[in-house]
Amino acid sequence: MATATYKFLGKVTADGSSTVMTLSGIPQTHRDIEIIFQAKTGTSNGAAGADITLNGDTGSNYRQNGWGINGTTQLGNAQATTHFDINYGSGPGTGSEMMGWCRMYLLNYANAVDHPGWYMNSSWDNYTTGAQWWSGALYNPSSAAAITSVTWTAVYTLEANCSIAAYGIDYS
Amino acid sequence: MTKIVEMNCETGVETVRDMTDEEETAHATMLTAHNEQVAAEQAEADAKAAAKASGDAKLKELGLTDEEIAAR
Repeated sequence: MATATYKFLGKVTADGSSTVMTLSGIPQTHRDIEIIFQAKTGTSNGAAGADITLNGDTGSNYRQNGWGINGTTQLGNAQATTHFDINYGSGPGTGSEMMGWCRMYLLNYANAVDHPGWYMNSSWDNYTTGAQWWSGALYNPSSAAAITSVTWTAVYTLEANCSIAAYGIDYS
Repeated sequence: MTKIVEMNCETGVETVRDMTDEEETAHATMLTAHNEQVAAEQAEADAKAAAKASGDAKLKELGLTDEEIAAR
C-alpha cells in the first residue's frame, strides 16, 4: 500500500521589487500538487490581481468556472482564457492594506493533457470586505505536459513576503 | 525595468532579474486586459445596484413597505 504524504517542494518569496514570481523546477515525484499563494499589499503596492500561468504557457488553455462574492456583490463566471484569474477583490488594490490567500489543488500534475483541479481564494483588508471565490479549474495544454513551473503575474509590484509554495501529495 | 523573481525547486537558487523586452510587452498586454476586466466588473456591479434601487423605488410607489421590499 502506498504511503500517504504531503511534502514541501519549494517556495518563492517576493522581495518587494518584482512584478512576476515563478516557482520552477517542480519535481515530478508525486501524484497531486497543491499550490499556495499568499498575497498582501500595503498602501503603496498592490497584489489584488493574480494571473496564474503554468509552464510559462500563455495559450487559451485555462478553464475556470467559479462563484463568489466581491465586497457585497455576488458573482459567477466561466471562462477559458490565458491564465487562471485569482481575484482578490477590486477593493484591495493600491491605497488599502490587504491580505489574500489562495489554495490551488491540481490532480495528476505529471505528463498529461488534462490537469483538473480547483482553487479557493479569500481576501480581507481594513477598508472593504474583500472577496471569496470557489472555482473548478482545468489546465488543458495543447499537448501532454507535466507541470514544472508556476508563475504569478501581478498588476502592481508584489509586496515583500508575497509567496508561492508547492506541496507534493501521494495517497493510496 | 520590471523585475521577475524565480526560485528553482531543484537547485534551491532564487534569482531576481529584469524582464526581457518580450516579457515587458506581454506584461503590458496583461495589465491592459486586467484593467478592462476590473472596469467591466465594476460597471456590472454598478448597473445591478442601480437596477435594484430603481426597482425598490417602484415597489415603494406601489405601496410596499421597506420590510416587504427587503424580504423579497
